[in-house]
Amino acid sequence: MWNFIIRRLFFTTIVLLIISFVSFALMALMPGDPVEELMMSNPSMRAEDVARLKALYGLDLPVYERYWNWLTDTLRGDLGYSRTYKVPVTDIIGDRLINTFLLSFTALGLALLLAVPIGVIAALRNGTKFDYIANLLAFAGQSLPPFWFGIMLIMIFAEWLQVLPAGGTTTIGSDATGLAALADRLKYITLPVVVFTVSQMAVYVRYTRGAMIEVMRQDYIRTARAKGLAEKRVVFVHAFRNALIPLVTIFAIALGNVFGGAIITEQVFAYQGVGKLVFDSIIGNDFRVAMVAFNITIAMVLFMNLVADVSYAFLDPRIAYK
Amino acid sequence: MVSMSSTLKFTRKAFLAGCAGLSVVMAGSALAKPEFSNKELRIGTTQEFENLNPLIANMVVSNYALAMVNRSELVFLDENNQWQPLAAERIPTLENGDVVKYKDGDTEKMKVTWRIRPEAVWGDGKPITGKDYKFMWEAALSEKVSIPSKDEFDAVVSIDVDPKNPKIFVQNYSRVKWDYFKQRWYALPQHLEASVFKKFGDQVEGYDRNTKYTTQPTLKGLYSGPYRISEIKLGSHIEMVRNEKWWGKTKPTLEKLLIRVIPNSGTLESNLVSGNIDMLMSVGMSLDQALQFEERVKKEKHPFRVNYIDGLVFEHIDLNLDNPLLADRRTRQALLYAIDREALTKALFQGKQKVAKHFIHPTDPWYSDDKKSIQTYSYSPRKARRLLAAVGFKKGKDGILELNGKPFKMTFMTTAGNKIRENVQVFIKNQLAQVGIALEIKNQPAKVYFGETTSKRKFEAMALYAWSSAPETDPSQGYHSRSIPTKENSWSGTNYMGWKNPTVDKAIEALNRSFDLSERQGYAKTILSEYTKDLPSLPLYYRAKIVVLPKGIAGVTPTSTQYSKAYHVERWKFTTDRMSKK
Repeated sequence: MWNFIIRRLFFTTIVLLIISFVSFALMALMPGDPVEELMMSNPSMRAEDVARLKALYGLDLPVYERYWNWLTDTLRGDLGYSRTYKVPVTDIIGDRLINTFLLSFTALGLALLLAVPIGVIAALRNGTKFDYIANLLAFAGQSLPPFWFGIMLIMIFAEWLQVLPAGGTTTIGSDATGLAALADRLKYITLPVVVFTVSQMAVYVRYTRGAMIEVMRQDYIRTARAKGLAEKRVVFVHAFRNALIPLVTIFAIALGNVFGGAIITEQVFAYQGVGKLVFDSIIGNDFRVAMVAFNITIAMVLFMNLVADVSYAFLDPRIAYK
Repeated sequence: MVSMSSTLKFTRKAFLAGCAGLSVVMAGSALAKPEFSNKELRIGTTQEFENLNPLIANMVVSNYALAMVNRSELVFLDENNQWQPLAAERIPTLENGDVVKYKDGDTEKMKVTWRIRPEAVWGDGKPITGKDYKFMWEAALSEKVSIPSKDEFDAVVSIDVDPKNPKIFVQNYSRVKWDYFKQRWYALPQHLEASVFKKFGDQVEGYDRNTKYTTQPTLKGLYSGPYRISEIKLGSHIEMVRNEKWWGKTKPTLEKLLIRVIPNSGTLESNLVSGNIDMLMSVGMSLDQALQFEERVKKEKHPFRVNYIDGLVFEHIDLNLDNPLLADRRTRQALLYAIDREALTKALFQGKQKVAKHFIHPTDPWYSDDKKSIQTYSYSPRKARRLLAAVGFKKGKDGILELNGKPFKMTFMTTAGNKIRENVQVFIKNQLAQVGIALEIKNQPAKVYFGETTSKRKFEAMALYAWSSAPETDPSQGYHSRSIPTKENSWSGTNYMGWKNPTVDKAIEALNRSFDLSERQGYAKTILSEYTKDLPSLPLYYRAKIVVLPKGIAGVTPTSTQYSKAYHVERWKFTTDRMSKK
């Protein structure tokens, strides 16, 4: 197993390097560069200003050389300078990453906590009222556009009831600490988490239900029951453990999508996450910010896939890595 | 089934616990409803801001905040569009002797003397002097500092600070420059920033990264306005409190200001209605959103006023003059005759945006509508048809005009997803179809459209977009023939039309040499006369600035120029207690 993990980590590093180069090259191919962006907002820029800035930003160098400069800077711990915000990348990305992780993982955790039991029960009560209602709600959750659902929640809870804020991350200027700070944070994160949870829950309910129905039809479940095992043991030990395998795959993929998935929710709720920052940095040719975000996403996808592969071995003893 | 019941019970318990948790949060939140205070003003915007170093900052919101916290700028345009001294005691002119022109060999040069107000100080009490302006100029000229244009700095070859009175400094220009006074020269507090520049100035963007505006943005000494920064979080908010050392005559009434970024306009509106913000910056709502919000304000009786101010943003259609169909200026004139621009602004904007005669706004000193020189184009499809017939266009079988057997079909481009522009396109397409011109709408994402298509002149015929201008803006970049972007000039210049008019080129060059306003007005009239005859672009309308203000606020005078209402923030106050939002 350890050999497998070390080998995978080595290949993960190689893949990370290749993908980072590809994404860097693709960004360089996008229309306009940071200097051309500046020209749009500063029509007084002269040809000599353009040449000066291209040389200063290294945009006059070939792509591979620019990539090498970026890579060596990054390995030295210098993430670079944001052309949009005019500050070092670390100054803007750190807090936002934490905020996005907090939102995404809370929503993901809640989604799993609610969706898995609902999916299991719906599968065990296949064809009953509970199953139909669970299916209906799952479809509804999947179909609700997050921007619309978000605005509806804001209208209800912020405008009409005035019990939750209409957006933000924390109360500005608040010097609350301890529990009061936590309560303040909760107040702002509640609605974004609801929107993000509802949209994700639907997928997990459907997958859990489908996987459980499939597993419950297997011969080994019939054998377990024939052996006289308690239903609880049959469901949770024999069936659920096997049904977890596809769920782990979906979960690993979902983790890689934490930035992209949060963009709309973050934007609607003016939540200080990294999603919008990544979007803006790509649109605004803010290379250094975009590259940090790309690489975290790529690393997470690769790492979570490794975790998923390792989990399969624990979930299914037939799977072994040599 | 026992196990299933217990699972169900567990789910029910979890659900109830969740509800209880949410109730606690809500109960806690209910206690924290927005508090209304006459001493604090919260302003919302959809756009972001950056580091507030005045040499580096470039974004609209940054400039808005800078007007509140930094008054070291030498001059500014007041709400009546008149130049006024700000940190300077007076504007140097030839008449008051502070501008001196002289000959150095064959070259005419000049010296400009600036006198800084004796009372002007930084937030830490240190005086603002010529040394601060000289330091800013040195930093601006550094090859390692990343600022877009050095044009306004490299015309000055040296700065002499009076050793006896450092409040006086002289700029030595390498050439005469009539617009020397309207360059945006801020001071940088050299007593705080010089050490940073010394330490990091030789690294690429070393100063930009390490300026104290980034590393210690709440330092009092960085600011010189009626307010100073007390908290700043990029992408979220800027909080400002009164500057104890503010040297202006009017002392601010409001104790605290807050600018909040709320990127989604729907959420921005909810924040206004629920009382989390009090007013919007002009970059908060688009016109269609403002019109809808105004309806809502009236219907639901919310305590806000929506103001539409004449803006200097010029919405127009650039024509690619390399296109053979558009080569004859009579064709371009026919296009403008065929568009009912009055009907367009009434139908789409309830008449809140004014039809443009040309690219200079009526509030600009260079504006002219002299009928002898400026050709105007009232809606007349009859005139349009006559002009097209004179060019040689004939009606084809399908009703579309043809020239030498080639149908009059063109592409009409703009930024995809911009609802207002897309509505304008549909309106114009229908109107031009009535005179036999077929348009194919082909829109692109803003990044491609501005990054490639317009800036590299890749649009086939018509490109709809806007230019933001300022009074007495040098027209060289947009209308001089040397400003046609090409690969050779690194695609600089914004004469995307490819307009070459020798009369205009000469008038622009003469205008830029003249120190006399009436002379400049004369040259501007020549340029406008040629523009309205040639029509390299089709003027549509000037965009309105949207300002949403709370009722009960006084002293806020919206402006149309780049010098926003924030330049007199110290006059803002609440005259009545703030009403309940409902």
